[in-house]
Amino acid sequence: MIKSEADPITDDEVVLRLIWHEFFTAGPPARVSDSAFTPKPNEQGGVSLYRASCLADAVETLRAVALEKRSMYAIAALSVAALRGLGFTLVPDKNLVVAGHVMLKELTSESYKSDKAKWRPVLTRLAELARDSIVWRPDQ
Amino acid sequence: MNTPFLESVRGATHYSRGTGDPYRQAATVTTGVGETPGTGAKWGAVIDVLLGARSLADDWDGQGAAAPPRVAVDSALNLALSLKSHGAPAPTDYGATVDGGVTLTWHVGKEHVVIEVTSVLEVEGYRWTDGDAKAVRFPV
Repeated sequence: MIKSEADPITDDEVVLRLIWHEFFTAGPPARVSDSAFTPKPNEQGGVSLYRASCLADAVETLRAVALEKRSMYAIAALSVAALRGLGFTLVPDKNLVVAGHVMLKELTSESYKSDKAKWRPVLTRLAELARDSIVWRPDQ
Repeated sequence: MNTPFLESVRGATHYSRGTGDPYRQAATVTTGVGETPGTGAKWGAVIDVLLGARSLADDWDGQGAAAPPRVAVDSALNLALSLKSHGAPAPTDYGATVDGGVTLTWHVGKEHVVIEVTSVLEVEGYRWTDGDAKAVRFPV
């Protein structure tokens, strides 16, 4: 059953991250670049993710991408519990294109730029989590 | 057993160890993964990706990524060529970042080193070991 965006985000959920194809190597071994979690200039409120529980299918997240580039993305499913274990807060952020949009509140473009020494190991940890949970591959 | 990655410089900055060579940090990357330092094929792939980054435009990922300034890419290219000539192993991850920089990254076992040419044309180095709360920044 699909959850409402208004429902609380629970630890047993997974959230989806769109990963540019050059930041993903199918392997083996599979690899995700740290750059997949570097905040973009427009991620001022935090790195973007989507609650899988608010979607019928993970590929719905590709609607957030320009049409001609949708085939160039992988999708990783990250455990909410794991993200909270890393100290992250997931904040809902209404998005009219794709339901279930949330942001990693602490990892904004500004906070990243101001303290890369803090964030570099975290980006690597996020990439490791994503590497083990790819649910969609580019050109799949 | 793997040789510790960057063991020779852990816990000290490049300059505090008086290495005198701006590329020594990465050139001392050891080959715990069975790779021959500076092998041409891997470095060739790095150079190809960096050359491709010279022609990126803003929003190159369809999600708002910033393009790196060409001068930043060229700086990274020069760095890569110098590292190669110093016998460093090719980075395990490399290319444009979504925030307008270019990175060369080595993840070897528990050891991690990132050299980043930023969009404001600074060159920053970070190194850490799994479990470290923060990376150590070192000048490049």
